Amino acid sequence: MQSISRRTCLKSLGAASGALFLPKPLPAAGPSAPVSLALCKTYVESGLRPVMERMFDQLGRLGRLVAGKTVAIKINLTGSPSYRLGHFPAELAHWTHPAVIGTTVHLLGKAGARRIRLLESGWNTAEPIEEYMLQGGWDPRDLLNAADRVEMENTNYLGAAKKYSRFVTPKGGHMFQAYDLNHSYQDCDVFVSIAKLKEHATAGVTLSMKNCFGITPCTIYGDGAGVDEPSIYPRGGRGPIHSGSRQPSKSSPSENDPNSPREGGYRVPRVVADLVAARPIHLAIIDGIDTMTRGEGPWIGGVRHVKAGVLIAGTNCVTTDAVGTAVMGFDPMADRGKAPFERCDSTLRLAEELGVGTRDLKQIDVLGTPIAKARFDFRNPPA
Amino acid sequence: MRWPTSPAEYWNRPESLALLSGTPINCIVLSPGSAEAERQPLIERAIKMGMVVVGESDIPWVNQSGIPPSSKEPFIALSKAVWPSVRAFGRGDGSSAGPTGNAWIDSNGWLVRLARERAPGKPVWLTCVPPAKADMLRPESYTMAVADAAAYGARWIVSLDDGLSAGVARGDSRAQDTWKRLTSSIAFFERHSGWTTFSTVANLGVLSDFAGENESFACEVLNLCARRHQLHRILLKRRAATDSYDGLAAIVYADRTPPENVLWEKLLAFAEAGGLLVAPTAWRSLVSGGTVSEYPRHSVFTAGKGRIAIATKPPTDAYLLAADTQLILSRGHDLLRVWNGGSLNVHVTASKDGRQGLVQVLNYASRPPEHQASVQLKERYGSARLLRIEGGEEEMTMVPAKTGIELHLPAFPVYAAIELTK
Repeated sequence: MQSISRRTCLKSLGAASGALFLPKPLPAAGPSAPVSLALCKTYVESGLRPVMERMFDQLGRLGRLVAGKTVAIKINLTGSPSYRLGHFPAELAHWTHPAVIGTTVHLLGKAGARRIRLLESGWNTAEPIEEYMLQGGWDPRDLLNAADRVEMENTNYLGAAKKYSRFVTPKGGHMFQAYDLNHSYQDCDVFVSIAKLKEHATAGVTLSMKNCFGITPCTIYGDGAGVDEPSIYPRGGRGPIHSGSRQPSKSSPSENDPNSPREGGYRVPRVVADLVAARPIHLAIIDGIDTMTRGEGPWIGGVRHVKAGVLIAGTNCVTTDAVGTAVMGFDPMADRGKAPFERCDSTLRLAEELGVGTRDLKQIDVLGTPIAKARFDFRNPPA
Repeated sequence: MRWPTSPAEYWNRPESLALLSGTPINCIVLSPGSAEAERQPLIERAIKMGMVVVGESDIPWVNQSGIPPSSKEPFIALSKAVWPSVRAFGRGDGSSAGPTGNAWIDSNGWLVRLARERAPGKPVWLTCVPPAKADMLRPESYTMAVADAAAYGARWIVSLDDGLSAGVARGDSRAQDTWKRLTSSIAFFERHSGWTTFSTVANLGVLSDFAGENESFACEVLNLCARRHQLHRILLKRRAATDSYDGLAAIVYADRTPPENVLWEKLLAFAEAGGLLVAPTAWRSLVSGGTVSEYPRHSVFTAGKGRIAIATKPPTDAYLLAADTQLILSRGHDLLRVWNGGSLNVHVTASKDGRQGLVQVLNYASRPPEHQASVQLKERYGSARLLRIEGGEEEMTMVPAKTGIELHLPAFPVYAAIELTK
């Protein structure tokens, strides 16, 4: 529980800025919640759906989590939709695959979810996510029709609401004591992160937690953010978070320590840890059926497409990402200087420090396929 | 070809015309002020070889807006063309700015297309001279100058940079290679001259008089629609009475002033029949009925079965207007999608009976891209064949897409064409 004086202070901050200051979201599952790991080599429904059904059953049935609830799902459509890794469609390299998203939506609907909202902050745009998907060669109707009452929203700006929603970071946060986000991240009962199993040039790995880096609107945290107030539309990327070149719009909390290192490997993992502590993830899913190595998108040199053939799911994002990191051939206990965190601090450790979950595999129950059987060496992938 | 003047001791000699043997070049343009007496033997030899010799000052140069509706000239010679190339955006260090890598492209595609609309059936020449450089330009730059004109149905008046004209004169092997590749590029398009009879494939019309106070903005809309790979037709206001808008899903009216009554009635009928009309702010008073939906820079009203999108403020950014049009129409209507096409322009045409299609891809970076490009066409075809301007052909696999087909382009430096057959 926060002290009254701090709560009052933050409330007045929220009132002064115009952000909607709201109570903390419901917490995610316990810090050592089990993780389901499965081998899966196909996105074809007949092969994919039974695997995902089994995984969700192993985690304790979706109905308990979502029945009668509004579920928000942050998907990963990073980068411009017109960018591909060679000829590989984005969903086979750096985007979460629509089949994984669609199957999740379908199963959530079957489990009784009242309303399902697909969220993403489209790069450099406020256009509807449906249009973003069309540009990427998808048919958004495949997802909109996967269950009843499915919607999409671009969360890279204010969107449909009148105010941003303020999320307070527990323990004061590593970088920011609070973040102002699109209303969609508040207007839900259950929050799901569907990520791709990838390395990341700045943060080492990008899994269910780093997927949430994209919940920050660029109207406040981006290159083109307004100085005093959020800009109306997003422009550019989140360079300021990486480099610390400027603070967010003044209407939002500035960083805790303006003298902190101006280096992406320091800043990005801390912001990610803050975000998943402030906006807990109730269900983390990682698509590693087809993916890429050496980076998070085709704009990183030396990346290549691989078929890791795995799916990972859990009700705690730290434990899920710890298993994902291990499946990639890395040690989830590694930190700066050791793969995959050669040039950065460990998001897993930083989230652990905020009490989000444990990265210690000895404390994590891995259900389904053992890690050793699912391991895919991202640094030395098969030819 | 604009005949070089330097070094004069080479280029003034009749023997220099041997360079043109076996090439499609059959006309030489002499610069004004050249010493006529010294060049007389050259001129006589050229005429004897069956060449046309013309002084540059005798050519009836026009800019695009100066092309008269019924020009009596046998050809259209465009004076203000740019040297086709790419300028990288980014942090000034030559790198692209993050995960999009947008590039600014200098292309004459829109200029040629507009000229051909203004003077249908007339050959179009265009002149652009190579940028001044310390060394001779790469052969790819010349291939691009040829292709950037020819892909859209024009001919570039060949102009050599100083380095190349000097290199040719001294028999430099690199210069000879460049010359050979330049002329074989011209020959490629001469072999496929039938392509110029194909019509533009498009479902967006850009309507303007492209002249006077409207010229700059409307022409830029054409240029930037091409950069966004939005397939579009050029609709001349003066032909509104006779032009058909069949097959168009949207028309963007790029002029500031409202249209005359006859055109307004026609555009309204287009919208009411199901089309999207994107119109400037001044039209608000012409539209009745409540707002259907708001977009960042347009209010969209219903009109019969279609819609009219009125700009909330006078558009000043042609790129945003093109982008807004595509968004309001919806990308579900895209006839073409391009991936990894940051430095590409793509021109799609089809035979009049629709049985043959042609996709011409121009790579302004003039070197194979880091990630190979793919194109998706909404139209389905039975077979696809890639033709390289350097020579060589190969059958292409058509990958079924959600709508239409996808074609995965191999790496190519400057230009490739895909012939499609149903």
